[in-house]
Amino acid sequence: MTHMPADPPRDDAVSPDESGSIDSSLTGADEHLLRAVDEGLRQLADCYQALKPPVGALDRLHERLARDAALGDDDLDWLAAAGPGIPRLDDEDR
Amino acid sequence: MNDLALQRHKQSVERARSGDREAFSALVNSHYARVWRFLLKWVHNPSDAEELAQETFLAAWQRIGGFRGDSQFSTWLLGIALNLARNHRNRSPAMKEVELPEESLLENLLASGADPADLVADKATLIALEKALGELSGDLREVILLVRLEGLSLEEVSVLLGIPVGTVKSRLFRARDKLAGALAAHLV
Repeated sequence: MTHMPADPPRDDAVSPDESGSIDSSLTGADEHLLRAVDEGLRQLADCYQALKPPVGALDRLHERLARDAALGDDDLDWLAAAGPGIPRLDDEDR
Repeated sequence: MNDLALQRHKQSVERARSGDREAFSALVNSHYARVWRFLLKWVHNPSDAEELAQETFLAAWQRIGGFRGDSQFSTWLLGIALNLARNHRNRSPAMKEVELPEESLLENLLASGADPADLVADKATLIALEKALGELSGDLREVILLVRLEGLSLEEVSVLLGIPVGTVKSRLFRARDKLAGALAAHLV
């Protein structure tokens, strides 16, 4: 599903984690390790930021949007309900 | 984004909401790269990220009439992308490793850096950190990716995940702590 959640659930700021208990290392991590984590995350973020989408990806998206526009929303609803395996337009054209 | 660009962007959103495909195309051009990179952080595979980015914008077009502007358009888009990434991860957890192991991704990331000299931490540490991110529980991983790698504010993440800001903070705290623990093990 792709809808946004409606009402936020309760705050679990002091709740146990998924393992059922608060991690004993919560206050145990050394400050220099936390700084290393922060620095590493910053560098990872920079690495991702430098990446570019595959060549032609944006064109392929516009083509797909145009193809779906040609189908019309009613057709799209029908296709979605029909499930996978429905031939694409470009397959039919061959 | 300067004031003029911001105004144009708002106008494009409004026009797209009323069914203007040209306006929506302009939004696609503005937001595509960010959505693709966002998805790559989840699926670690450029082709999968492209496929999911397509699904994101198709879904956005179908639902844009319901976008009320309570959040930024970009945050709303990332919410759609996040849901698709979650579904993808649940669908094919085993395939990801076969298609592109995380270390390979990081090799690509490091190779793509504009100036390798800027990379202060050594490659092995970054690989360990990326691996530790993948081993976090889903709720912790999502928060740290959204805040630290995507650069969203705590409030934006709160809206995106539908959880209170306090919960975002506590998950961030716990995630950071667990990553520090993993890093400590790596450095031993």
